[in-house]
Amino acid sequence: MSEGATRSIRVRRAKGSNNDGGTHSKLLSQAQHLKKTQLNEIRKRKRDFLTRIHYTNFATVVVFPGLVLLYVLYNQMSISPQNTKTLIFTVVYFNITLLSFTAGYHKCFAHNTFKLRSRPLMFSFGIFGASLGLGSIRNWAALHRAHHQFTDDTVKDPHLIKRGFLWAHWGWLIKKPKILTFYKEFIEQEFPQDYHCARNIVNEVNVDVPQEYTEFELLRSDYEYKINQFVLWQRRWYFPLLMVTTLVIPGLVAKYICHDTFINGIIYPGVLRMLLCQQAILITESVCHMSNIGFLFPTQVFSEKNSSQNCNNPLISFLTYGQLRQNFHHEFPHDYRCGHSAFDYDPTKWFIWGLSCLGLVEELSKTPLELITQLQIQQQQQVINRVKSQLNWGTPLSKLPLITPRELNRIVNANALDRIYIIIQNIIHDITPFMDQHPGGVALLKASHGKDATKAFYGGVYGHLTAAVNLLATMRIGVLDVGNDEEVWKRVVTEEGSVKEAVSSRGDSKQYRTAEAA
Amino acid sequence: MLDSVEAVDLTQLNAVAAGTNKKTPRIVAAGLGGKLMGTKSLVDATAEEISKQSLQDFAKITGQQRKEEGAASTVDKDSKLHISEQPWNANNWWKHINWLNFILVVAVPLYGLYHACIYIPPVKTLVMAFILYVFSGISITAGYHRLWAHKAYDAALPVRLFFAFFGAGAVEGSIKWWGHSHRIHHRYTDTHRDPYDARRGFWYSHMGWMLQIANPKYKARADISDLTSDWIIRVQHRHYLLFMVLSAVVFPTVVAGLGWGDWWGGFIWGGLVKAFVIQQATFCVNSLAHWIGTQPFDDRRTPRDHALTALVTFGEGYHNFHHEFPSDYRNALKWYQYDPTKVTIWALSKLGLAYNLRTFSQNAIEQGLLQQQQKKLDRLKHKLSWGTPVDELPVWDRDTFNAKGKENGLLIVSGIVYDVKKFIGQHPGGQALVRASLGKDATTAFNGGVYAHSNAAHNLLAGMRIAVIKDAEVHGNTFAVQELYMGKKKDI
Repeated sequence: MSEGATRSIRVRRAKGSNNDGGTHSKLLSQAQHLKKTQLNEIRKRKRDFLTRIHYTNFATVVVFPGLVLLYVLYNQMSISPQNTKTLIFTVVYFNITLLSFTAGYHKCFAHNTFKLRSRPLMFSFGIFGASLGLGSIRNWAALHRAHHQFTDDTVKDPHLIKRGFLWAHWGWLIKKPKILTFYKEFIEQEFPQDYHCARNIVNEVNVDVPQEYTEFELLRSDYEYKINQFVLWQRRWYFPLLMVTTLVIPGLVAKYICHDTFINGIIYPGVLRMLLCQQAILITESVCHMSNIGFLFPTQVFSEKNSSQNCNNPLISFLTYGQLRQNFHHEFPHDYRCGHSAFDYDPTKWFIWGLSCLGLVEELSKTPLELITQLQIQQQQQVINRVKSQLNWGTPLSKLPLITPRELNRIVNANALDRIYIIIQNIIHDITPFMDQHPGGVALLKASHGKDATKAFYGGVYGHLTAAVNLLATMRIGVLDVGNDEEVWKRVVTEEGSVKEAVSSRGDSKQYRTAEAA
Repeated sequence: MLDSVEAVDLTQLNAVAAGTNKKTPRIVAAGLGGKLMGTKSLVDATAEEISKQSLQDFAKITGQQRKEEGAASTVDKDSKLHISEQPWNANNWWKHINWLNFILVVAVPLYGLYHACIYIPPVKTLVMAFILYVFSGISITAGYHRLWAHKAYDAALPVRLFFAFFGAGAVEGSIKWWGHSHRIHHRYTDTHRDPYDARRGFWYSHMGWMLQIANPKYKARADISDLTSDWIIRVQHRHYLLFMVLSAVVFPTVVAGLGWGDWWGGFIWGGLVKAFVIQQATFCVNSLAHWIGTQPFDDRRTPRDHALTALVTFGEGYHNFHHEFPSDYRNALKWYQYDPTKVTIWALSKLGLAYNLRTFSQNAIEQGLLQQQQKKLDRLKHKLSWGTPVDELPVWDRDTFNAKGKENGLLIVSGIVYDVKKFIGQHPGGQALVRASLGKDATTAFNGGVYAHSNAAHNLLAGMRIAVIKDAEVHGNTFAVQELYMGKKKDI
């Protein structure tokens, strides 16, 4: 078969060459051209791909940890240091660097939750924070602000969870985003290269600023200027700082203080510690935005507007420094805490509070408890309203048919044996499906068949409360036409009004909603 | 006649509920056993009395009206008062106590506990005692309670025999008496006629109600014709004392004695201690389950849900649910809640020994949960300040705002004037942004033009509102368009 096929192709070729040599060469050149363009595209894609990799991050997130893990595996070394002193140093260094990152990079530089008063503290934040290898303050903090501002925005969110776990976790670090210019502008806006220039523009808008504010603002902008200059400095020296804090310092300390080898210092307190720290931070942007990881017990206590979750698994929370309450953090990013409860596991909070006691930082911003409770209430109300709309509350009174007593008596007499109709508050209920479930027994229901049992239902025999009243409502079939339907209409207003009330109480609590609509 | 709907006769209906409308054979326990099951005077109520009191009691629970009770009894302080209404003193304290119950519930168990302390039996006896404890406990919860008192399911004959025999071993009375008082408890929860009235304190509802002589003024009855029609219940009631001694004491003693020669251990541990533990566990349903825990379904009555109570009482701890949905064979709904009785009944149904398992509709259960949540939420809401309601704000026009706007630190968002002067320094996005909007309409900037503010920011802002602007731009446009349209219509 294959032989035959090849032969026929040969024949065809031979024919082609014999009949028209020009066509053949034309076809050939076309094919070559096609191949070339394809190759070009592949090359271009490759080149593009290569240009779109962020090499510094790639090194710190993939190459360093990968190489070290390979080295460890190849030499069959333990994953934790054998030397006790190195182990202690690793643990201490882990805490120092992670605190510098959470308190410095995150709470201070990205969210401005407190004001620094000491220059050495600022420098140590910048220096040790760099050892996590997640980028310079300028890059990371600005991107983090973008993440808060455009959470779940399909274009602008840098850690977009909709692109999957891998993107939110590592992808955004390794691969440069498509809208690079937008982010460049955003970063420039947040931490401008020329601070005075950017600031002057703002000042022009506020020429006629009242005197009382100006002094305060001058102080503030002076502080912001200092921070900005430091951020720019740290960005310039980021790579050397990274090398020093992940390789040189751990190596030297291990060698001369812990009496271990230099290479062990690089492996354990250096790179493996960096890997752990990275995961603690990265997990907040990936896992904490996923609602489908059951063992983390994700909840959305404050808002469902975005994908952020409060993860309540205490073990994971312990491993990641208690940063998993992202739903709180996304609603109150300017809170120096990561949860409103005083008993939360939150080392960053304790650390910042300790610093404030020492007088090294000031103006810790703390959300008032009332505001937090308000949000919780609003969220709960939303959940309740959602569930409410999914349940069966019985046919609305206004949609029930009007039935005259004469008609009713006819129906009642016709179905005396197999059905039970009971009138309560002038509303006719068909109790038949519930007959056998009635906790007080069928006899009572049968005795009230076709009669007005309002008094008996509300206390005369038994005082029915919530559940019974709800069940009753699902069984109503008609309204008794007694000529005077004032009572029923009052109930229509209260019941259907209560639905409106529930809606408006949601809007009520947030009056701005109604105002917005206007 | 045909043009109106007849109202039910309350008295007649109460007669149905109390079972006084039909003649039921009176079943009396033999000998001393009759004394155990309360007195006739307590249940000898007529339907008229019941219907009169029912309405009053319910009004009290729903808080519609308050009526001073017991005023009459305090007026005539003569010796005709029943012993339960007289204060305790040195002369009459022994009259207050129901000595027969005292012996069965306090003295004998104390004797058993004393001997249990000084005699530790072989492991076999302990295991037997535990198994009997489980048997009797399940018989009380799955049998006495859910099967007979609430008719939550139907059971095959062997199961009923098992429950009747081992239930007697718990020394808590016969099925007929137990079911009757339990039905009364459910019908008259938290009223004087509730036999274990939880409002009278923890100890009263735990043991006090059976150790004291009850007040015959508060009579109550429930229909138990379905119970008395079962021959097992009739026999068990008639010969209750015999069954009790057989099941509670003789059976464990004989098993342990003939089995491995530990007669004394079987008597003390398998008999007395076991009965004591089950008694206390069951009393906990009446006391602890009305005392600690949450009220997820309704908080107008005392029953509560708590895991601890459930642990002690074979899963009867989800009591708030149980009082809302009494004839549901479950007490716990969630898989992680501890309810071995539910599992037992379910397993029996799979074996074909139980059937017609009753459950309330999930819809009704969720409705109850939701309404209670809403109630709690509303209470919380009232404690917080949500800013002045928009309809109570003064109305300003543009000129007023323009005049005051800048120096007072005012701005407009969505047609409402806010006083943000004090807040400027705290604004997370920096002061410059707020300052730039002072005296202007900042709606677009606030709602996403510069930064889409969170719910928290909206709430914070709501606390600062001071006035409504009359001709905010949006309104202005709408009115203009309306006027235009109306004018055109007039022309036509």
